[in-house]
Amino acid sequence: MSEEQENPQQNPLEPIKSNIPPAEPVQTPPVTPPPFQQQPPFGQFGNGMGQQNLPNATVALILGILSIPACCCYGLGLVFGIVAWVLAGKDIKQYNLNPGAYSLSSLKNTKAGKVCGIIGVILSALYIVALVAMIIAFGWAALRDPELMKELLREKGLK
Amino acid sequence: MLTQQKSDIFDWLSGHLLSCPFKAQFGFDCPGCGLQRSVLALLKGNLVESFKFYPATIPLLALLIFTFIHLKVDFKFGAQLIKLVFTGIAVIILINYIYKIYNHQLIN
Repeated sequence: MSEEQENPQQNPLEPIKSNIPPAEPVQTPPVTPPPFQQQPPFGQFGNGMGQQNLPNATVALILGILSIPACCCYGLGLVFGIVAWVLAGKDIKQYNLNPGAYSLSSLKNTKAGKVCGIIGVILSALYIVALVAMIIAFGWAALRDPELMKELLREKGLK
Repeated sequence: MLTQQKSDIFDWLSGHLLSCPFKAQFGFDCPGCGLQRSVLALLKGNLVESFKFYPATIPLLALLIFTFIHLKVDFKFGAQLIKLVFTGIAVIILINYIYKIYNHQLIN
């Protein structure tokens, strides 16, 4: 009786033990290679495994950021902002046509450049709108002449 | 000698700042006015004066330096952080300009 009871306990365990060893080598080989393929683009700015950076990612990002320091002075901010916006837009289209060929990090940089460019353009546009509003409010002559401007401001009780 | 040379350089720089075309034309500040004076104050090591001239200078320079590091090293959160800080800088500049208008600091 004791032998019969021990045997059914051992028997269900044995097939489980025998099942595990063949299952492990079957599962592991497909799992390990993908991490090696996926890691390089995140780690090394996309130069691994044949993934390229988008061509204008860096330029768009830097122009987008420079659109604020160059803002207003000589109207460069508006130009920088628009150029960054257009370049980034082109690159994002290019990425969407062939997502596998370009690295994800350069796409993120490009998108950041686009956002920065848009903000720079909005800031420049706001300034131009404010300028036009002042010209309408005070007239061109007053803006050219600081003394006249001060008088106008005193009349309106602003200063 | 070295300190003398330094002060000479700063004198020369402060005499040769690019003048803002809008200010020359219209006689009042544009939203970018103060940036050069602020950078100059920062070069002299005067943080408070730099902030008073133009509050956005320090975050702006920090962002530029961070961007160059990010382009070399490629942080995972880098692009997102750049967007956030940039938006913050734009807000600072807008608030600064509105503050200037309300305090009549535009016409000097």
